[in-house]
Amino acid sequence: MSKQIGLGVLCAVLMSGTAFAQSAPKVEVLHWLTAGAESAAIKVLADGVTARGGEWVDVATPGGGSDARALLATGLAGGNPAGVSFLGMGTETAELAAQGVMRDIGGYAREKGYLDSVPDYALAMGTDGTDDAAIYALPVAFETQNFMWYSKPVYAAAGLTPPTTWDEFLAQAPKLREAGFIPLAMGAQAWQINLLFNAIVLGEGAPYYDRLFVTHDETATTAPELVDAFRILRELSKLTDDGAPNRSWNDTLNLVAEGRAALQVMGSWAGAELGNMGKVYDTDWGCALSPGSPIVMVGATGFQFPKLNTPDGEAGQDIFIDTMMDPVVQTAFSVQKGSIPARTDADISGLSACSQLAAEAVRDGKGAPYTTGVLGSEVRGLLTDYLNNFWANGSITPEDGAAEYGRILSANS
Amino acid sequence: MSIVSLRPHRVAQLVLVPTILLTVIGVYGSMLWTLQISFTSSGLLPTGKFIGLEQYFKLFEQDRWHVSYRNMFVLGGIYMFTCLAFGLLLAIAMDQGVRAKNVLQTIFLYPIALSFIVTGLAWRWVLNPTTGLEYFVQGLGFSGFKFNLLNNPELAIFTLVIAAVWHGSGLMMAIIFAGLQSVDSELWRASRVDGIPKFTMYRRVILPMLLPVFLTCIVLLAMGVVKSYDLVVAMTGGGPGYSTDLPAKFVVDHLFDRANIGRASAAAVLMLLTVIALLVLSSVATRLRKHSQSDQGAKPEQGNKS
Repeated sequence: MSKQIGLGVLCAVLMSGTAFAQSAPKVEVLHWLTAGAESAAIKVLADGVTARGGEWVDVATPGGGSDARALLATGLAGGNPAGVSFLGMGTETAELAAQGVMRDIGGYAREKGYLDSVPDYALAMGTDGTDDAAIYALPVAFETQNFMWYSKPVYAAAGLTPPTTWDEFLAQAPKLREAGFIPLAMGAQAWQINLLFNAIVLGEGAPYYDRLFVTHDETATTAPELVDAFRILRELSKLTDDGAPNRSWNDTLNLVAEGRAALQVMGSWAGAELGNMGKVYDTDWGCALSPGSPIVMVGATGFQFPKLNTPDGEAGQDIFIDTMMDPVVQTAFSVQKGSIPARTDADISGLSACSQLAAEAVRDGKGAPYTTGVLGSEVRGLLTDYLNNFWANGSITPEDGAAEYGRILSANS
Repeated sequence: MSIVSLRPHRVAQLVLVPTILLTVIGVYGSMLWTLQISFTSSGLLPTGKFIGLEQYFKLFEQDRWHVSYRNMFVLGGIYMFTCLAFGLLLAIAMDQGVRAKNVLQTIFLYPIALSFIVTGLAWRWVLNPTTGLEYFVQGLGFSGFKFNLLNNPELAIFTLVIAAVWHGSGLMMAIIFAGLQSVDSELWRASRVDGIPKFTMYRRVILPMLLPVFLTCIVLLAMGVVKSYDLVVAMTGGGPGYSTDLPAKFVVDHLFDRANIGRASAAAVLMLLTVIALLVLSSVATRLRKHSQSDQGAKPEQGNKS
């Protein structure tokens, strides 16, 4: 990994060397969007920055988010961070802002009117949680976390229709088993279990999800809805196959693609993967929001803006903000990446059918922030660990599970 | 003149200075830095406030830490014992001159040439019930066959042992075999003259002679256990649940994915303390052994004189 960081630094150094010849404001962009479709998405932004008279300096870490985070931390500690840094938006920005190393771009973005059509819960992920006027990160696109990807041939063969509630799915499961299919495709890794569970909680109703995770209502942690969510999770843990432990999400998705499993709950990125597997939408597979409640669990991807001490640093950042908040750019970015634009007034006609479904729901106010955006990393880690353990140990009852989960949540928020 | 006047050992000391400096700064400096971070509330950046032992208290509240710490000893104990046992048996077989010794030696040594990542992936495929052994045997017609260790939180740790032993026993064989080869052939001749059975000969004479070799093996294996991270990541990812988590994985997860370097440092310090405790124990053990040996060695000498 240090090799990759080294490479990233090397790239940055080499590219900054060429910058002295020009006078265009330079903007260093730290990101890990290097694979196929993702690199096409980042190119949309790069072209936009160049067209607005900025100079794009690419600092990519092909190793992923951890590497980028390490590079950002090193840059911040050394006083020379990249001017713009890609991230899955969440409380991390608030933690950095509390250290005084981030630039408040709220004033600039508001003045330009960029924020009017971005949902409030998404903007809140870029604040430090105390002062709503200060904004340190902006969303460029939303990744729907709670899509249900199902196999059309499987449902046709079993003579069933995709479920609209979890209890309906639990009732379908024996028939799917009988027909020789795996009811639930699941990769039992901590983050996938966490994602599934949050989708189940959302299925208990958006108001309950809001009370439990967003407004931290103490009574929600002991509510019967939580026990019910754990009951569903326990039942689901019995509906997968023996190969589930530590299976990656795309290997798991393959079960749906091959028509061996009925459905998988996974984020919007799975849609592009199904396309890559050569499977056709609406004949091989279909998508819907996860059972229970037609609410989009919104994961925001965006950029955060560290404080810079170079003379044209802020000018470069401003050009970048102009680019990323342009609705045309946001649409083009999301078309490539398979996400939906963060601005609800952006054109969505070019998006895939599944993305349009999510985009319309978000526009109609049927969106809720993902837990990364509303819970601190400490409590999120503890909750994920607990769910992981609950999934694997069938001896823990839903009642005990809900009690312990609620205790962790209320003790740490 | 001045160069000549330097005594040889002074030159050697001077040559060693850069190495010593690097070690002191790089290794011990980092240790102290980690220790200092573990007393702070640092998240993503190492700039947190001093909060005393709170990270340690919180660490002990985490069930996952207890499981991973216990796993280090479970995995370590079984792994070290099995590895040594296999290595010893193989080495004795070699020493007794089985046929095609060189070929077998290569086969047994081969796994050590693979990284733990490759080892872990290969064994994950073998042990995975939907792709590996269970699937294969069921395909042969034994549809009732079950081999599903990876799915069982209580047994999954043994899959790690299997893979690690497969990986490590070849090296143990090579080291012990080298030790056996260095045993004076006169000893064996004498034992044949005295009519001592081979088993007794190994148990009472040869193996006690090889004690330093075993100590080397144990140190090598123990280091492997403490730092093992890649095997778990490739094989079980710490699962099912966190039942096969290890301290090193706990630290790395908290360092990068959880952005909690304070907690990660606290866990790393506890790992270090464990290693130090084991080192102290083993050095005390060696010293005790030397004492008892020199006592035994002194007596016959006095007897000869009188």
